[in-house]
Amino acid sequence: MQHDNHQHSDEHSDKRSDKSADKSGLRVERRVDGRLWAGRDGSAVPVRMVRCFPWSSPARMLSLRDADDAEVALVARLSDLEDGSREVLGEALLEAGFVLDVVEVLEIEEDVEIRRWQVRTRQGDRSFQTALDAWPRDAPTGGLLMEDVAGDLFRIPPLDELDPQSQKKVWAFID
Amino acid sequence: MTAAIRTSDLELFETSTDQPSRLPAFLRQRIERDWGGSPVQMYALADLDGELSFAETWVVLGARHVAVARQGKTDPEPVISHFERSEISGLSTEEGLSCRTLRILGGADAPPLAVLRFTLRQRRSMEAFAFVLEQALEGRTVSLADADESYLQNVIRPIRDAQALVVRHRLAVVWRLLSYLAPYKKDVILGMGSAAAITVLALVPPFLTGYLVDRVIGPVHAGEVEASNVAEIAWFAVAGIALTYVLRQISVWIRLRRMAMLGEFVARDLRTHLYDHLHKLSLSFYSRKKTGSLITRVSSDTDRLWEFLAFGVVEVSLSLVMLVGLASVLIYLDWRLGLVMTLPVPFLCWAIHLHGQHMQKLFLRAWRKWSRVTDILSDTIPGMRVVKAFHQEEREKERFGFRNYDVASEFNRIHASWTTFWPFLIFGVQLTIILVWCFALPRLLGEASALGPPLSMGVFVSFLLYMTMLVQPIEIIGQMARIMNRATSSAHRVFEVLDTEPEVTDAADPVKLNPVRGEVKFEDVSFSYDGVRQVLKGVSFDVQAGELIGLVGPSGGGKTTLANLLARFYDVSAGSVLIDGTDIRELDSGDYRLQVGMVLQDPYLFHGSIAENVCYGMPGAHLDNVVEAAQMANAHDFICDLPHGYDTIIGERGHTLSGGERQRISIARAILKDPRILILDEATSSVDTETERKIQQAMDRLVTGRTVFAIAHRLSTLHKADRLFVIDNGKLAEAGTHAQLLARPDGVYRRLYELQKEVNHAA
Repeated sequence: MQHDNHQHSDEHSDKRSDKSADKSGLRVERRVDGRLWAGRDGSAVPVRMVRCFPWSSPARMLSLRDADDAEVALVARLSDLEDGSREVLGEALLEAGFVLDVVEVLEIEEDVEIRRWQVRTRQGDRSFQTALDAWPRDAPTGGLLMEDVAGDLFRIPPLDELDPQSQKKVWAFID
Repeated sequence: MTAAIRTSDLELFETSTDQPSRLPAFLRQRIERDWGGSPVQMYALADLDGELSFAETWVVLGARHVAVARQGKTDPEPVISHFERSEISGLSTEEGLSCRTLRILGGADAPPLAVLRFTLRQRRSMEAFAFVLEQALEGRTVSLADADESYLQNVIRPIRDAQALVVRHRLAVVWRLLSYLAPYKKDVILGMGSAAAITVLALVPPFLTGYLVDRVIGPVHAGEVEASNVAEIAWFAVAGIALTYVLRQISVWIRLRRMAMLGEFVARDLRTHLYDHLHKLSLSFYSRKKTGSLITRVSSDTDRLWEFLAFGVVEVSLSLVMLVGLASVLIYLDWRLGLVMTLPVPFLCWAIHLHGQHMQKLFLRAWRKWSRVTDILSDTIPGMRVVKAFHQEEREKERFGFRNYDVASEFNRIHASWTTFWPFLIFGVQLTIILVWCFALPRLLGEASALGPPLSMGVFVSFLLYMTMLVQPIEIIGQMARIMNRATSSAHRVFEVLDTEPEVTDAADPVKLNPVRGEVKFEDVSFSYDGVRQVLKGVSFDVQAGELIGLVGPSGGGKTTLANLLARFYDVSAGSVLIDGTDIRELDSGDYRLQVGMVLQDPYLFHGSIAENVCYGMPGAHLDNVVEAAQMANAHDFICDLPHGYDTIIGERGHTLSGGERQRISIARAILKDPRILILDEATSSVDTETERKIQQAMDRLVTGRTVFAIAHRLSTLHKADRLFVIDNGKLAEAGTHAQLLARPDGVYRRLYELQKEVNHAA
């Protein structure tokens, strides 16, 4: 999922607390403490959101789990929720789906057992390393996803969206 | 930078990341000043801001304070905010694909004290930071390492784990590799001397041929001398050529033999050294490295090094000598033609080098696709029963067919490339020859021109012969980078293992307990595999010799870790484990483990006979004892039913036996060893009821007269336990007899017991 530069920083004010309920009565809000809270019938607990299909259907089947990892609710579709909850979860989804978006490949170099990449991303320049046998996989939004040794994901856009130099560098990794 | 940080670590950090290698000194000073001189204890970097762009936000921990320093994008002055650690009420983490958010919570209904967003590169240092705060909230203090060292190591750890990095400079690795030749100086001198002789001798026949043409054949044909007068010289020259060939082949023989054997000796030494060292390393090393990778290091990598030492070093160095020698001889014979011939050589070497790089790219693409083919094979062949059961043969065939065609077209692309390049390269060499002809022909025809004075036929014949010798060294030098890369990669991987220090080591003067009585005491034991997440948290208990302790609790609670500490596969992170009153770290680990037995959930048997496996801990045990152990383990009857009895070869990992049979052999192995402390790890899981009964009978015999720790999910298997320890979330949640624990209305054990009763009832 690509980041759309939405503002996330202002969490110090409680501004999203639409308490209207959906059909199942589930209500999700971002409280003043910055955490997600979910509940029904007036009771709520802090939860974290787990995407059951982070690639194939990132906005569907969202599992809301409490501190003991018990599922408080399973949201099949965002549209099932009332507006306030939908907005809150939508913003949480942006953060959860964040990957580093490569716009230019500056260098790919092989070293002992790892491959060193230097790329320009939408977020800034970044060097990262991948295992020699780590191959990119298809990104559901197009292009490829490359995972570095620390676990960070880099989305490389489809070949025709890259400049000719970058295309030459990643040619071996793209079908 | 603190002295504790190694230069190589710092270099790795700086070449691998784009972030500061430490908390900037001015920030540290300002923060410490704001804290009234209280030192920085720990810090981490949050590298994303609220807009999920790269940022530099430091979160810094002191004895009483936390500081958050945000580096502005436009304003170079960071904004530093502080809060007291006592204000922290909790922590909350949200996990995304490449973004984590840590919120440090303040009071109820109050905004968070800090919101820190970071990529996974910062995960370890942030988790360590959060762990320290969490422990503080639970009233525990964590002893902290040097802040700079800890931050740096946490960031580079994933790279370190992925890369066999001994030293970064390839030449240093090659020198280290060559140092293994030291014990074989005589062979090295003979081998290299022969190789040098081969090179020099190769230059002689063309020279003598030219001499023959100019001094004998030419004058005779021109009628300038009588054939009979020069026949002797001619035969001497031919004899010289013949002698050169003989000497050359003797040198080839010496060189091949010496260097091949020498390489084998070095590879053997490396393998032995490596395998010996592997046995010294702790289990943590094996959990970090893949088994396949370690096997490759002992087998393929040492084999590749043999190839490099036996041939690579010599081929490369002699090719250089050969090229220099050829160029010198050619220029000596005729400097004009010599230059025509030698000047294109660097371009040809460069062309080969570029082609090599291109081929590397093609191979990379092909190997990527090849891995997709092997993925299918490693998926479907072991899982053929499932494929058939779900009738998915056609789909699998289609999947394989597609990838197979794909990979074939990539390899054909490779073939297309090299089959085009090499004829072109040879054509390049031939063009050079044509060029030599063009320059030589007017002079051969006796015309003095701007191209030079007339050229003798003999010199030109020598030229032609020397020219044919140019191709091979050019080819080798063009591939020099590839040869060096392959060898140094293998050397890195081998040396990485050799340079790894075992984490569990014996004290200088270790204590031997003969015999171990079996008293076990855990004193406030904490343990972490990765130095961050605590798997055991302050566990204390006291076990008398001969007690049977059942370890129960939810999966992932820390039961197996406790057993690992008991066997001293790892050392505790905090607290101590005492055996008969002696700290386990002071014991001679080899001697101690001889008196500890383990029966694991998935019993590991070695390729060999059943008897050899039963005797594994007691090589040379008497046959009576082997049979007696097998009888006690309820294994004797099924062994007797096998056509080869105790001599039956059970195959790799015992795959020819059923799970229950393997388990009973492993119990026999433990019985024969007669350990003072016995660890049973889920020994009866995954077997049918009848097998379980047999195993249980065997275990009842096995546990008699020793201290036993038995891990079990099925609580019914622990009916004979003297006490039960409930391990939950890394802590000793409950301890007592079955009846005592059941008597606790809200106890963990009672809940587990009732849950299992319900499941059994439903079944």
